[in-house]
Parts: sequence; C-alpha cells; structure tokens
Amino acid sequence: MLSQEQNEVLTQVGPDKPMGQLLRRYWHPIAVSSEIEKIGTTKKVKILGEDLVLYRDKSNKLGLVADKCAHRGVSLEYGIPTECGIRCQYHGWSYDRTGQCVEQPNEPESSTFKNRIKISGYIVEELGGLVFAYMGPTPAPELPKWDLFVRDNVIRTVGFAKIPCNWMQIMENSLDPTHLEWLHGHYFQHVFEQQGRPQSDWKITKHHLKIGFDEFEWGIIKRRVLEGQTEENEDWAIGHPIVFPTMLRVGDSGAHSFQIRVPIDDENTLHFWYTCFVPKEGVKVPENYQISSYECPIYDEDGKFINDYIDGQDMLAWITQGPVADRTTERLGTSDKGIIMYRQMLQRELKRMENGEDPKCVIRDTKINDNIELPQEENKFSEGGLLSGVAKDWNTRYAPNLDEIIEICKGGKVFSGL
Amino acid sequence: MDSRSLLNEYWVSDDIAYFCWCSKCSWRGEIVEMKRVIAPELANN
Repeated sequence: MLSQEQNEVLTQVGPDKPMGQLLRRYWHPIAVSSEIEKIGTTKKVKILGEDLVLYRDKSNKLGLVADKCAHRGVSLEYGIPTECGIRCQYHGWSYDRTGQCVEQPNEPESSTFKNRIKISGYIVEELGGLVFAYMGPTPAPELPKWDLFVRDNVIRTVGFAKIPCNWMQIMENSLDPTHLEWLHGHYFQHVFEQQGRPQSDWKITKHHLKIGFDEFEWGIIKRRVLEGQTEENEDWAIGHPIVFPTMLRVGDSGAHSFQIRVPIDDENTLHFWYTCFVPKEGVKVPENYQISSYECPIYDEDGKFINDYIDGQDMLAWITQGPVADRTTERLGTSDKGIIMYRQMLQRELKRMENGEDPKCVIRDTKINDNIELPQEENKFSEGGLLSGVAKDWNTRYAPNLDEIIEICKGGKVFSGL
Repeated sequence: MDSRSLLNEYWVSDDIAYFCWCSKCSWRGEIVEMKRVIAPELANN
C-alpha cells in the first residue's frame, strides 16, 4: 500500500513530473519501421504525454516533432515532409528535424519572425525493425543494442497494442512470478474447460516453491523454483530479466522475446511484443526475410477480454486494475516483494537523476554498447521449448506469417513471398 | 514523509510490515508493527 502522493510520483509521465523526467532519459520504441518505410509518410504518435508526429522526409531520414504547428495549431500529421523536415499543409510553415521553424512563405522575405518559432523536435533512430525516440536532455545516450535487436539468423515479428492503463501496472506484472501458475495456469485450464478443450494440454500450473529477485547491471533478475524443480533448474539458476525501466525479457529455446512498455500518457501504454524465433540447428533464415508486424486485439466482438492466450490474460489483469491502479487500497503480501523492489529501484534512480547522475541502464560507452547479451532461459518451466511450442497460444498467433515462421524454423521453405 | 522516499506497507501473515527506503540517506529496511513486546529467551541456568 502506498500513499496517493507516492502513487502519483511513480505513475505520472508528463514532462514536468519526476517519473516523466526519469523516463525521458531512455530511448523508447514508438513505431515499427515498416509503418513509416515510404518517403513522405507521417504517423501521429503520443509518447510520455506529448502529441507528436513521426515522418520520413525526402532525404529518407526520420523526424519527430510536436503535432501542432506553432502558427494556428493545425496537426502536422497531415503535413508535407520536405528535404530535411516537415511543412505545415495550412500556410506552408516549415520545420527542420529539431522543430526549428525555417520558413514562413507568406511573411516578408526579410522577416526574422521564423527564428523565434520552435516546436518540440526529438531524435529518432531505427534498430532491429523498430523506430526509437529519445526525448530527454542532450547529449542523448547510446541507443542500447540489446541482443535481440542485433542478433543474426532469427526471424523477428513484432506485435503491438494500445493498452488502456498506466505503464506501472504492466511493469509490476513482470515482477510478480506467482501469477504464472494462476492467471496462465489454473485460469487457463478453466478457459480450456469452458471451451471444451482438453485441460491436460496445458502445463503451466506447477506451484511456486520459492521466488527470488536479484539486482544485476541492467535491472532485476526474476527467479522461481516450481514444484519438482530445484535451484539447479534454469528458472532459478538463470532466471529472466526485467531490463530497467520498461522492458521484460522472456522466452525459451525456440523463441526469445522482449515486452516493451512505452507510456503514451498516464492512462495508456503502447506495448510491443518483440519476438525472435530461433531456427533449429543448421537452418539458415532467408536473407532479408521481412520483419512482420501485427496488432494484438484486446477485446472480442462482445467487448469481453480475449482470454484464451497468455498475453490476452495479462492484458485482462493489467487493464481491469483501472486506468491508474489505486495503490492506496492494495493489499500486498510476501509474494509481492519483487513489486516493492522495483518501486524502490525507480525511486532510487529518480534520486540519482536529480543528483545529476545518469540513472541505471543509461549507456554512454560505445564499447559496452555492442550486442548486450541478456540472460535467457532455454528449458522453460522444465518443459523444454514450451512457449515456442505454443506460439499459437501466445500473442504471436496474430503474426500474419506465423505458419511460415514455424516452417522455416524447422528447415522448411518460404511460401508467402514476404 | 518525503514523497521521494518509499514507504510500502504490506502483510506478513498477521503482521503489518513497512518496507522503507530513505531518499536522503539511502537506508533501506523493514519495520514490522509489534502487537506485543516479547523479550528474548532468558538464558537457562
């Protein structure tokens, strides 16, 4: 249980809020590259409470500026990308990638008015099929090259959804190991029963005997010992990492994935499921095989949560806590110590930032930033490649080319022409 | 309490526990509310 004031410190992401300032010290993915591939494309995005427009200009470079033209407040979502910026469609005011106004075609030629006009403009870079933005103070740190963004010979697919709740309750779910045996175990069995599917198909119901959390260089390692396991098993010995502040690494021998949470504002979060399918030994993934993308639906046609896949169940848990979870009424127990640890880490890093230091996971050394390997369990829940084996009970079931991905990973042929 | 510190109340069986972290001095520890003061066991002569 927290005070209302503490809950607000932890959850609010606007530019003038402490957590908003901390999160602005990190690069965040804001789009899938393929959405903004064509020169002249624009895409409206909202990140950390700011309405922005992402565009690809005629130099084939990406820009990210405030949505509203400074002149009369028209949306630049409908603007015209130029050689090195974007021009407002209303009266032609033109902005460079920093958001500086560089042209006002209907003002006197000698006017210096444009020099005094600047809208927000942020740095963007592409990596691993995603577009990342940095919205904090300059100089920007390195865009972290986490292993899955740069790994060779894997098939990538990216799911996304706009989740109508605050980012913190999504992150706290990642620090809560025991929900696995219930939400994705017994509840899943219940759903199977309701659907008339054999419950024996589902294996994630083992009871947790022990959970643990260790801080490491990039965040927190979450560990568990399930019934029938010992500390020698990978679920404890390796564990899986929460990369500070907004990313989870999960997977098994067949599929490694990141779940990345990007606050849109205080009550909405852009969620990415970034999965790398690993082909069986000796199989070579076709060169330049496209990174597919897909939107994960949250609700069915009756407005109910889609609860027959792991990520749908997670979304159900995140969203039904409300737009911003009321932590003044929660009742945490000993199994929630990971959540408390994460809250404290956020507060500690806030303090570091306010002391003028770089917070955890802000990387400035280019030598470090070269394929940063993260721990990866292979034998998940002592069930081998369980998660990749049930790719159709995962968010990846919405990948348009899932069947082909599975076929290629087994050594089969490409048949879609993607 | 300073809002930049953390005071997170939680439950350990019957006991109310407070996870504390002080942003000023970085002290981190837990305080458990006592319902009864119990002395350590006396040495057995």
